[in-house]
Amino acid sequence: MVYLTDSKKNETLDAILHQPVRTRLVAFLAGRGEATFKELKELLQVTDGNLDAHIRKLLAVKYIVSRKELIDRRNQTFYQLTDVGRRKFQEYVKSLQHLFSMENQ
Amino acid sequence: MKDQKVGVDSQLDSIQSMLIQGHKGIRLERHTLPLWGLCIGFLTAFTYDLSRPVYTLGYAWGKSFEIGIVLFILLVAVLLEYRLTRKARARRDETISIIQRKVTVVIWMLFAFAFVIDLYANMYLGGGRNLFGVYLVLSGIVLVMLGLYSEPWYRWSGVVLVLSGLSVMFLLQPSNTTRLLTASIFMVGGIGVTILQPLAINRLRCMSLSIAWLAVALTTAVLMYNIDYALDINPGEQSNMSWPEYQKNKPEGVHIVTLAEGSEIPVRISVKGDVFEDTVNTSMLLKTSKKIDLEFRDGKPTGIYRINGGQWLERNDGLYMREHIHKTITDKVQGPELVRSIDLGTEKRLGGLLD
Repeated sequence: MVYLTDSKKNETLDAILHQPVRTRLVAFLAGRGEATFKELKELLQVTDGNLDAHIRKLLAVKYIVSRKELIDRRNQTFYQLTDVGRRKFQEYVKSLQHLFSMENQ
Repeated sequence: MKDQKVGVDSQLDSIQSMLIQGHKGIRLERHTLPLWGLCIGFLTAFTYDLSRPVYTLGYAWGKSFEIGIVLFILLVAVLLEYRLTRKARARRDETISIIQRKVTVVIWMLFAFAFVIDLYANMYLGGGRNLFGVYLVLSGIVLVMLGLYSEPWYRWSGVVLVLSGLSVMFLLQPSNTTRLLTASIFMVGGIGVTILQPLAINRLRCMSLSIAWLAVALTTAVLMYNIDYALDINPGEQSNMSWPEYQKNKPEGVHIVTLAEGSEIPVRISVKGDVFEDTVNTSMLLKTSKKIDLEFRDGKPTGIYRINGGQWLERNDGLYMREHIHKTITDKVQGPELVRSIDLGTEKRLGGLLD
């Protein structure tokens, strides 16, 4: 976890989500429901290796899950948020909003 | 602290932008509108024709057969749509967004409700002709809704469909005309909206292209009407005889019987209902004010007619019955009296649109 401190309060941000590519990836999945590797790659404009590394991290902490489906004799992998991932993402957004309001006081 | 603030700002911005991206994703495949346009157009144009022979076995048989045809064709279309969409998405390695799934559920709920109302209205209330307009308006609303999450072109086409549906309802065209007009709008609209989509790049283009496909739909409706008329309502040159002559000889085959102006037609009125103890049967003589030609086949009217040598029409095409006055008079001597005035005649074919 990354701890950010100011004079008024300690605020905790989730280190897994507090990374620009992963934040955007999880936010997109929260709005879209599920997405394929190709969709995520085109949206986030990252390389295969880079995206794969981020996806592995999110899978490891069970923020996202993958499922495979055979369509027209071709295996397709879909990624979607888990309940844990959704809850952590909501907490992360709240923390950011809190930090933002403190900064503007 | 300043760096942290920038980080928080940019994170919040990118979250908002990604959430919007995620919610934007309604994408209509190229097969979707042509498939549904052709399917609903076909059902509108031909369901009644296909089930007409079964109606001779009884109303319940006919209606069940009609519902069966509709459900079967819709089921085939749903399976086709599902399979083709899955294939297209897999080919592009894309998913279907949550919003598209949810909107699809809402669309099906809307149409299921309309279908139930359609059945109820046709069975118990009549006025099925208005439902053609209702389906057009509903489809227009669906396109507007899809357009909100995808491209403005669909919104424009949706508005055109809504206006067409309202026009169909308020123009009060005969049932057959309304049916073919609706079928044509669905078929041409489904294909036209998809084909013209790449050209609809600004508001002016959207407007002119919408008018263009609607014009093609109207032209197609005229063609369909003429083909339908030529196939179904075309008695050709048959022997023409007066009603007394026909009654006297009762010839076999198809004949045109002419009721001259001023002919007297006996009309038997039967009133039934739970407020009366017995069925009331009464007869009266109505005098024709115009010359009427009727087609007879083996002694029975086929339902094809024309007024004053005009265009041949079907029984349910151009005849209307309208109740004008409904009041109760309370007379001191005679007691309460129900008064109803009914108009029975040929409808004015507005603008001669499909003549």
